[in-house]
Amino acid sequence: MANENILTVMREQVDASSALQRIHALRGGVAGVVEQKLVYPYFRFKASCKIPTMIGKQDVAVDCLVDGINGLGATADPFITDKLMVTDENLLHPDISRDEAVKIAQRTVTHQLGRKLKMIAPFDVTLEAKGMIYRSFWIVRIGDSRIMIDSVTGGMQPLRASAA
Amino acid sequence: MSGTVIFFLVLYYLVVLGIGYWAMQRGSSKDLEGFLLGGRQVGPITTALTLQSTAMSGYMFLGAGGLGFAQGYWALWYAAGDIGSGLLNLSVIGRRMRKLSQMMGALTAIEYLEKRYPSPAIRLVAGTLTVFLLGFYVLAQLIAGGKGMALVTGISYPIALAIAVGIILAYTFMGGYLAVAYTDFFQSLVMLVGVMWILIAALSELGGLTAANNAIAEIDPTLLSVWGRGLGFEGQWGVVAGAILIFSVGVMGWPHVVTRHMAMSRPATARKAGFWATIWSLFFVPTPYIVGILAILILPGLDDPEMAIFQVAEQLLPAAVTGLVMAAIMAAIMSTADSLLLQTGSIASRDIYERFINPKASERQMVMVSRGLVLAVAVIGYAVALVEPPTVFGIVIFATSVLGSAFLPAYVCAVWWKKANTPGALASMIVGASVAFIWEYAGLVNSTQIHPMVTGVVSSTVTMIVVSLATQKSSPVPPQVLEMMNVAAEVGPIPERYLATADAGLANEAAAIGRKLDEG
Repeated sequence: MANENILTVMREQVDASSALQRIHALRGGVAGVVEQKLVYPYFRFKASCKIPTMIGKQDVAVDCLVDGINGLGATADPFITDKLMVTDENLLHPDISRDEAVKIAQRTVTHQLGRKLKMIAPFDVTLEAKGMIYRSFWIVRIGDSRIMIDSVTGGMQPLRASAA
Repeated sequence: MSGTVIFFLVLYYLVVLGIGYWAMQRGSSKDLEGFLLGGRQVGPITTALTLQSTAMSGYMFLGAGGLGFAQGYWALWYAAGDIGSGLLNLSVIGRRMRKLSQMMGALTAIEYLEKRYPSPAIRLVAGTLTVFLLGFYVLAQLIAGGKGMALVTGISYPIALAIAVGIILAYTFMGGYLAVAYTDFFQSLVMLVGVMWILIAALSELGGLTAANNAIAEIDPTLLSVWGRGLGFEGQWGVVAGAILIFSVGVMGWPHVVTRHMAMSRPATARKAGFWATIWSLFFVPTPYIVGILAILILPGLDDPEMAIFQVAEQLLPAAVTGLVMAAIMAAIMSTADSLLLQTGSIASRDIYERFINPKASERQMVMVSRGLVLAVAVIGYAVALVEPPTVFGIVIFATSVLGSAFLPAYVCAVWWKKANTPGALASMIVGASVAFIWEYAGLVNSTQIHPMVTGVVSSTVTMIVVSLATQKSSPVPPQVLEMMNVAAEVGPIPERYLATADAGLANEAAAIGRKLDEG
């Protein structure tokens, strides 16, 4: 029997039937089948930064997520979380360590601030680890193809041919 | 320069600062956070105008006007390539590059090159070339800023140049404005309205375009031709091709433009932004060249052709409008200089210092390296601009030719040609940069009648193809790079309609999930 884990996940906005309806609408009536739901890991950080401006330093807090598998960082919109029971077979485990994630988050936030504010400054970024956060994806098969659908945004992405 | 002009110039800056302050205070710091999160609150029009405000450098206000004044309608060859460059760039490398760089986790354009063509040599050569050439580009902005500041304030050029350099440095180190997207948007609108106003005032002064052309014909009919003053470029298609290519495809090799592709928001927003950027360019790009041409009649005794636009504005516009327009122009110059310095500093610290000198560098150390390099560029730039200032046009054409020749095949083949490998890219960068540099430096344009942009791009492209094909066995493209290229190209048995709705932001997750499913 598969182990079950209680995880913090981003609140799902698209359930299995909604995901299929989206596919159905796109394919002009051809239905897909939900094969499985995969839960994807991210390291979550709260980055507190001090941004120098002409009227003094401005404190800004930004959420930063680091993809636990690819090790890519990104600043993130606020999101609501829920607790979800997930079996091992539906769970993807991180390939990078927490220490690596911290470095990536630090680098991501500093780079993002410098690029967007067009200035070279240290920004005094302080990271607060907020643990792991997960996002669910519906894996839908249509004929020989597979598509994954983001349960939070409804965004789709075809899976590469060999995975299908 | 009248007190009214300076008053409105100061007023302009206060308004821009006020916009930034308002944007930041609205809802506490939430707006700034929203902006930092990826610009999701910033729509396609604001995105487009923000990009244009940064892209349109001192070249447009000094170089373009100066070229129009010196060569007449021949100058419009340069404008022709520039007008559609945004859309062309977006079509050729935009979407695929965004996706590929995102999948590779590259933050800078140079890091992206190294991940696509895995070798430290790629990063070293590309980083060094970029820092050197962007330094030239910054020099053009410093000269433009100094000349503009001298005219606006009436103080001498050396002091005006020092003030301009000081402001640009402060702008880069401390942050000039509080909410860049909004202030750039405002500046971009003022720039467009300003140059259009100068054009309309000039046409009105001269009795319309036909009357102006007739008057120019009386001075020198060759100025109305497409071959330049005295038909100096007659039949020189190699030079004309370079003039068109330099701002159409040449910019695909600019690391600071490539970085923008990497940082694009959703493809749909990018497409709409590309449309608005093209509309904006359609009106804005030819205007400085035409004002320069009209200045032949308005300012017959003009000593420095590159001051044509400033001088026409000063002569024809009401003092208040002159102040506003000049402030917008100065702001645009500083905004571009700031972006270039930021790129240069970031490449020097991340792609050279952290990668080759101190891999364990802290963020604070990297900021110090960035600031040190920016300071050095500014000091050297000040000295060159003071002792023997070249023309803004000359510097921009030189830097663009060499940058485009060095990097165009490397960036384009990175997404379109799966056989493009590391030796091919390395050789292409070195050969392209060398050929364009030597062509420009040795003045071979005059003897061969071929623009360095043409010889540079042709030689770097041929080198990329020949060397890549010759070294396929010894240096194959790594499988993981090929896999990412496939995903970026969305190759596979996936219906077209899905591709149109695919969310590029999920490409990394899709690749990882694909691998996991393969592993079972």
